[in-house]
Amino acid sequence: MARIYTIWGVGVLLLLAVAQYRGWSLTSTDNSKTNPRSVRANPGAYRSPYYLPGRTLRGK
Amino acid sequence: MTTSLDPQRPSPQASSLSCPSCGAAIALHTQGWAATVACASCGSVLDASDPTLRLLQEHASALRLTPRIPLGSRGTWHGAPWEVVGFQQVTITVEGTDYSWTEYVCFNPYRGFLYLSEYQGHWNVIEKLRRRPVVDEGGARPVALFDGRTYKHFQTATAYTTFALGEFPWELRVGDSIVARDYTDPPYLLSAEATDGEVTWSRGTYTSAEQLMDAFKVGTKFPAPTGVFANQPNPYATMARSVGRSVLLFLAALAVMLLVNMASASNATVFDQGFTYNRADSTSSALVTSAFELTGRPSRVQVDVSANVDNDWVFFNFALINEQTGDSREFDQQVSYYRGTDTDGSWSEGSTRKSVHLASVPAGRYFLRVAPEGGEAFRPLVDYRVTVKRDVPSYLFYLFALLALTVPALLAAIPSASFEGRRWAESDYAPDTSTSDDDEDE
Repeated sequence: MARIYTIWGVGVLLLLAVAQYRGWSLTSTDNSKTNPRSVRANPGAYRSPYYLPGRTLRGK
Repeated sequence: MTTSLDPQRPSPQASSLSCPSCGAAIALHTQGWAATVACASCGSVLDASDPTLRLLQEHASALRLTPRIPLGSRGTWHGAPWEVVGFQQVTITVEGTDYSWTEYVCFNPYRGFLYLSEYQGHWNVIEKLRRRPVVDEGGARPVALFDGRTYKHFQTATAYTTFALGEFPWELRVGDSIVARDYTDPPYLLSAEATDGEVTWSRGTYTSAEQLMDAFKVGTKFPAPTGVFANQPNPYATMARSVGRSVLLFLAALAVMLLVNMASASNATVFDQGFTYNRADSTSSALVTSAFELTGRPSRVQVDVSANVDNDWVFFNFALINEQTGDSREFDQQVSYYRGTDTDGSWSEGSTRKSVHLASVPAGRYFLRVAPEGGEAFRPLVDYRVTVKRDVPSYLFYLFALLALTVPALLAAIPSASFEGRRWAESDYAPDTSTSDDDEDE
């Protein structure tokens, strides 16, 4: 049991080191390669494939 | 050298006498050493120092017990031969319940006496101490100090001899009582037995039944131990200690990693600019920022957005777009802050600032598309600020690592703690689990 815990602990620290070095994050983002070059010219007209109309009806 | 108690040799018959009460033959093996002898036939207690075995207590007990190690058995313990010459049952009464254990008197003419005790399958080998331990009565739990070890007080009880058989080096009477104070530091148990102002200290060593069965060549298997005894070694203690040491090392390593991470992370601000969101003109609210450079290895990017909302909210849709490749990462945040007063006083909820971490963003030239939406209609203009930082440490991972390291360690400690709980449940320091009559009546 103690050996298993030691292996587990070393694994946790190694994973943490990799996560910090590689810059992992828990935030989910929608990655897209379909962003049109024209977004610079008319940013308001662009709608991402993930856009859901009406989802901003929030607040208190 | 071979002694007269060599197990291979026949036992010497030192003296053959008869019981003055029942006439049964009595063989004394410890003549000159024993003070009393209990007749195996009628249970009468006799004066072993008297040539005629003067009767001290007639038919002392109606109880009949058979020793697990028969009287006269010879064995070798720690290199010395011993013969079992006496056997007694001792009983204490705790909260109206009798608890009995048995004790065996072993004799070696060159070494004196050695004692064995058994309680519900738990065996101890007991030696009388020639030095008195130091007792510290201060504190909630008294301790006894002896040979560099600290023994915690376990139990104090009045013990009665309820059955006796064979020879004893003290003036035994069935029904005699002593006050026994036990102190434990597994595998040892210190016992102070007080009677008539005299205190005798002894130290028991927890011993497996198998070792004693082998030593005394007992053919019948001893019963398996029941429960946890006062000085029974905790089989999980070594694992718990080992895991405890490991978790301390890991937590120290975690702290070092955190400090190194905080010191080495560049946490550099690569973009910082303020904007105004005009709700009256929804078509021009979306914008793209000027380009900024992200350098170095793929690492975390933090995007902060703050807005001067007050009883108001704004929803932001972001896209971090690589200028060269067109790859984008879309994410959103709502900045919302409300406050007021009610009968309980002032209150507030939400925040005027939000942050989001983007994982492993490669080096390159990027810009942000920012699209604010929504909010309360009473105020058309909202000022907001967007800040982008590169190579930001995430402390949330350290929290996860802390949990991942400590939770298994705590789980690993449960068996050991449970064992200790069961040990101390039999002591004077057991948690009070009794229910009062008042509670039962309700």
